[in-house]
Amino acid sequence: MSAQRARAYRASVRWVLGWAERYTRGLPPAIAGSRRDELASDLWEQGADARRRGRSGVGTAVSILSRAVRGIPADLAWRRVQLAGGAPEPRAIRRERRVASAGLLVAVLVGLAVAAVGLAALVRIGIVLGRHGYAPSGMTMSSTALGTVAVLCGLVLLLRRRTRWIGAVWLAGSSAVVGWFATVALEETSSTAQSIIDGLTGYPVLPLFPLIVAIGIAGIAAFDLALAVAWFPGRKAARA
Amino acid sequence: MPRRRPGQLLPLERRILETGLGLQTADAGFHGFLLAAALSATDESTALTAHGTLYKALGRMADAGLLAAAWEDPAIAASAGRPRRRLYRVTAEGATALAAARAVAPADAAPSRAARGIA
Repeated sequence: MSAQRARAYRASVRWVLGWAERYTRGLPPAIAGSRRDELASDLWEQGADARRRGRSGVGTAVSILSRAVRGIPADLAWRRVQLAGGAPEPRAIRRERRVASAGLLVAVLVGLAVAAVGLAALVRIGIVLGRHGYAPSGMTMSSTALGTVAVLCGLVLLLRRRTRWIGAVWLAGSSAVVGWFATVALEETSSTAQSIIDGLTGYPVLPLFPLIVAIGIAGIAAFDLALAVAWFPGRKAARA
Repeated sequence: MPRRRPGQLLPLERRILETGLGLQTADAGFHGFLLAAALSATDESTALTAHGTLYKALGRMADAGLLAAAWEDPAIAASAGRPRRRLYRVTAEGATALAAARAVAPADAAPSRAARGIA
């Protein structure tokens, strides 16, 4: 079967053209159409070249997807320039965008870390319950479970531009719940967690542990709330 | 976009001009995939230049007057049974910019692949 007829090749072409459809959305029709037509031509030529050289459909598809994925940052930069009317983006705006991207990345990583702690606590609770029939209080278990689900929901909200500020507020609250109750659950069910906590607090000075957790929770909440303020739509409109 | 002064070329732009001059003939230019394949053939890696990197650079160079771009006659594409190509040619200004860049930094002193800004 020729590369151009292979399912993998056709799927990769569909994906690339779908991506082009997305990043050219909202641009002047002539500019958007020109980019999409040029890409369609490139994809066809690559398929024809693969056929001439007897290359497989899968290999060609991998090459096409690799070219598309590696080019995503350039596609997005090109889109920004086109939206700005062809002029390069001012340095101040570029810097602001980089700071916002870094904030989002840190928020996502912190959210994932909190979710991982919540999931680890739930797994430990399950293990201890199964082996020893012991479980932390109902309040600890339900708060850990609901809090972890809430953190994951917050991450989804965070990844959508329109709901980003809600996601940050959501994460501030849910991270606090998970941060508190999951650490309590881990302390009660995991000897490894107990060793870490003892190391952190200088056992037997245990009262220090809640203070460390509270400071951590407050730090995460303050960071998320600061991002929510920065991303609040009304603020952006006022600046514009 | 402001026009570039001759000699001010990004590494990828320089390679596009060098490769493009080798590809174009008196009556035919070159299209994006042909250029990507030729760039890859002259490179130590076989990876083709990323779509976004290639077409962003070609568009920028056309805006700067280093390349001339024109869509192929749709009738030719239709008779060949393929999408129409956007054909590029290195302009006199592009050739001058390349000559100036070569005078400043000869080809044998070309930087590594990573430094050439290839995605």
